[in-house]
Amino acid sequence: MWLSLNWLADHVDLSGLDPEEIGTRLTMRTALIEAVVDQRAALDGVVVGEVLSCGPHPDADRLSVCMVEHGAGEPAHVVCGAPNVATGQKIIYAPVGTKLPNGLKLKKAKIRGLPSAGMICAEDEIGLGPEHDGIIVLDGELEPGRPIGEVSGLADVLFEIDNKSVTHRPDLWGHYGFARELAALYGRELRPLELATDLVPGDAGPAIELADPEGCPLYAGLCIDDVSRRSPDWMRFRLVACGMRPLGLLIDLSNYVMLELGQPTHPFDRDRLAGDRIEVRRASEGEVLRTLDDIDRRLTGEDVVIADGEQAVALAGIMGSASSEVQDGTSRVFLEAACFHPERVRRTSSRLGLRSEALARFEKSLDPALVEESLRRYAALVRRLSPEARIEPTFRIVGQAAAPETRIRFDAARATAVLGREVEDREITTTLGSVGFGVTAAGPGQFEVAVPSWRATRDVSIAEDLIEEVGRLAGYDAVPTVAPRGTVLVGRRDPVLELEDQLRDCLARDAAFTESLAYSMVDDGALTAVGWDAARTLPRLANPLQQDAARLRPSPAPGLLVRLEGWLRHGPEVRTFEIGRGYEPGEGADGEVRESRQCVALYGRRREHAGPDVERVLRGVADAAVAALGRPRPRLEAAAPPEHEPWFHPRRAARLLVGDAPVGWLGTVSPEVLPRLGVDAHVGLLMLDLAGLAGVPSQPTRYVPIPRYPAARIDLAFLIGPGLTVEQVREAIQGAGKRTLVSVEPFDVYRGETLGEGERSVAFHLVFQAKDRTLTDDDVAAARERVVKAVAKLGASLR
Amino acid sequence: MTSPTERLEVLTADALEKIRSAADEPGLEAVEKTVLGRKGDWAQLMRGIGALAPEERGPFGKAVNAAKEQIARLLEERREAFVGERLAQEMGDASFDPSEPAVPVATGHLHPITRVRREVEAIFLSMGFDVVDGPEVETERFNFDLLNIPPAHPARDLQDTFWLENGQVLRTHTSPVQLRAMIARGGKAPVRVIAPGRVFRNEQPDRTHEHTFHQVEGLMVDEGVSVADMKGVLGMFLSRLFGKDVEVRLRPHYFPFVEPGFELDMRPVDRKHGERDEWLEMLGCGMVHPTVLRAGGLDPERVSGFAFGMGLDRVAMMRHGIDDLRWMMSGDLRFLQQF
Repeated sequence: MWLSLNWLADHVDLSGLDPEEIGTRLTMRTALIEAVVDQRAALDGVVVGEVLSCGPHPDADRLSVCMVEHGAGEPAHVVCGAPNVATGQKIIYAPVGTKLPNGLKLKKAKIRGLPSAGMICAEDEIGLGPEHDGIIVLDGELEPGRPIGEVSGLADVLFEIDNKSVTHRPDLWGHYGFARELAALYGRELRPLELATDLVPGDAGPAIELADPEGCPLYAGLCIDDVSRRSPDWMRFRLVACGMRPLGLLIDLSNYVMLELGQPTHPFDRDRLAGDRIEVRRASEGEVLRTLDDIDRRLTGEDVVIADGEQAVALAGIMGSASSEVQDGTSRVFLEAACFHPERVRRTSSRLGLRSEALARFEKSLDPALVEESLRRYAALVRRLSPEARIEPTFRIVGQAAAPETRIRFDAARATAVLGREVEDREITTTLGSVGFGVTAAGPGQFEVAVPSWRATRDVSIAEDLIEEVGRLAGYDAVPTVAPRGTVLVGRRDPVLELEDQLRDCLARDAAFTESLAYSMVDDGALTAVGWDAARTLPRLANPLQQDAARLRPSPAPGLLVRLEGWLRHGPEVRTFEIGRGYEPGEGADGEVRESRQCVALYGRRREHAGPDVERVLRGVADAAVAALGRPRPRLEAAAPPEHEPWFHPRRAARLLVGDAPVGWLGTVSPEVLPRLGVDAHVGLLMLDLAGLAGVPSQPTRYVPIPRYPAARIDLAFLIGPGLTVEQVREAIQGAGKRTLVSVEPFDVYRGETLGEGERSVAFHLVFQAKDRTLTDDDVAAARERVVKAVAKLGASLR
Repeated sequence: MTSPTERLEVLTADALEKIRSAADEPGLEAVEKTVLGRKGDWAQLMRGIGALAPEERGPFGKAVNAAKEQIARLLEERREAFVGERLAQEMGDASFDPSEPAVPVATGHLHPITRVRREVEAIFLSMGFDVVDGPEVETERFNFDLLNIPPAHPARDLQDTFWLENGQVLRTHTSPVQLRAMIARGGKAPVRVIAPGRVFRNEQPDRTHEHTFHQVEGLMVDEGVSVADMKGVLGMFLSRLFGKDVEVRLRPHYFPFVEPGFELDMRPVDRKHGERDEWLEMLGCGMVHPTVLRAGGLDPERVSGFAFGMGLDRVAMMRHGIDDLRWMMSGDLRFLQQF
């Protein structure tokens, strides 16, 4: 929303104030000003000129040759194309060297053989209006040479308001409300509005029936005939500056009053209202109305429409219809001003996806007092701008609505406590009074505050709202900064968040994985690629940004997998992880979504790049991660992966357990999935369930006494055939090694052409140690023999 | 046949010669072995001692020892010379080229959001705030209604919302966690929490917008908490986060769940030069609305508090000079592995 300084200055004296400072003060005390645009700066060098002489161009029918006095040096010889240029006019002259707001830089030129120095400007050339056909003709009293920036009614200073910062302030959706704020902020007087106070309620004009008093509790209409067509330049310029298109006085005035008071009005062509009557009613189910933008709108019984004797002619509070709008030939006007139910019109607008300037105001809960006021303002402006027009001395007004009469008990001590600065009684009276609150003292530090109607519809209803008024109008810089204080507490982190961060450290710092994030919405294509069963439902968005990404992910896994192809182009090996949530539908159609908290690590390696099996790599990561969390060492149990993790190879996945508690899964990605991802590589996933891990208590590390006697270490490799597991061999070694074998760890696996089909060579690291002596070579040799014999019994031979 | 004494002289001369002519330390060791070993000429010489007359044995033994000592001295001398030479050589090695490539240490990367979030958490933990969590899929009640944003209220437009088919929403802000934290604490003050997390807005991503981004919510409720306290806590927080003294200012702003509501701007205080930077908009905040306190089970007549919400993505962008918000969720390793 844009505000014009010239317009504000109609209502409050702003003389001597710097526009930038006004912008800052409004930002600090009222609403965010996003920009201050000074049109005058863009018109530097442009001056008032006088057309001393004007004659036809000898070689061009449509061009005139003018001598222009511009207050400095010789008059300029200017060729002008405007049809309305004439001798004696005061015009806007841009000399050679000027850069115009539209970017044009003026140079000496020859036009059809005649020299032309500078330009006589039309409104579009100086950025004030849309018209190009004729030049602007100024007041004859102006001195040639006067900078255009100083001529009133032309260049303006504009303030851009952040609309979000006035969502709660229906009074600030027009210039008059901001003028009221400025009057308070600068201690100046707010001028009363020029209103046609002589108009009285009566029965002139179409009869009005309110059939939907909830949707429209108050409706007024005023009849005006023979209004002139064109709006004066100053008004057109203001409308353009505020982002509206000038369309002729009838409509321009309606927009002007809206931008001034915040109250939309709507002019109907009275001759096009069938039956000369108005009915405000609920639309009938399925009723169709063609709005001004030429779109047929299908309505429901929730919508409020304005109808004439035959059909709906406007969608209440949102937009009129083509069938009743004022046209070039309109002579009789019925001007509507009404109060519409803010939520009803808002719902209609949301459902139809149709917003308008009017709706933006109605939905904010406008003060019903503006209904009459806007008609009177419109009429006063008609009298000024189109004196020949005839205004009915009475207007119809039907129904009843008023802002609630709100009175609030206000305690100065409470304001002091909330703001953290001393708030004195006198300040309360003056400050609240300056923006229209009625303040009555009710004992020391106690007040009774009457809320003015323009603040009472929704904005101000409790004492806290008044504290804000007192605080903001004085400026919050008056509030001191107090060093943090309060009960000394030691902050704690949520235990699962704590686990998540420990995992991040382990994966990124120890295991060299890169943390990645993906959206919670997942592409249909990605779900299909990772093997998700389409029949398995996932929570679904009703209004997704992309129709093919409407479902929420069951896990971060698909997001990692679909990026794999790109990642593997980046390097021969990829290690990434995401710690995030998976989403599952709740029980029943309306059941609340269940969130699971997961850590998913992905390891991938191009085929040509040698390395250990991915399961073994991820097993190492799992061991390190679980250890980093202070949980006991996990074990793996081969199992068919669950249906909701379809990306795993059905026979190369295992459940991860700590003690008996399942904490996740680990395995190779299915060879069915990889080609769909465009990947031919060794790929595995480690999935940790954070709730499962959080359920396992952490244990502080137990110190193990350092042995007094040295250990003897040997490595043995066994050839293991199909059907035998490393764990079985490990157990056999442990059993045969007896008490002095303090540790057996498999550490390497080899498969190769030199070995038979399905055979592996697995190397074990054995540590022998006694508590009471140094073991001899013979002790170790004997143990080694027992071990080899025991393993041989299983069918595995020493290699 | 030569006498043992003559033989000793020959062997000694031979050993000394070999030591002198030895080219390196292993050469010296070979000589040492023959002189002191159990085999070879010297061993034989020693065994020959039995053939000497008893009176000759003493002097011969002394001669042998003297010879051995002489040999040992020369060995030591030569060995030291070799060590010295080797050391001199090593010390003189000028082949080091510091531009040869490093052997890389394998390291992973934490997301910039994680890094910033942790810094934020550490600062607030030190001020006695708990770090708490809430669901990303929220009920309409917690995301809107209980936060003083009733249905069909224009304030709902301030946040474009993703709705689920079951009527829930993807939370548009972390503010529902305020309520959950107050309720979880049984309506007892003091409450000091922050809640970082993922939030969602239904809007097309561009350089400065994302439909998925990260916020941290903060809430402090106690007896007598005021706007002045809020300025103090948030000013201290931002000073720590940015590692320099900053000043803050409050501008009025509308958030339905606070009253009064503010936007907080910050700029560094540069006392040395007296010059100051532009104000930077950092976060939204305000005094918790009485309706929200009541919804959290607290009595607004007895306690008051402030709440704030800050975008983590923007802080990460400021910190690292990131020019486009969309990198955060891009999963692009060229981006992620810079951090």
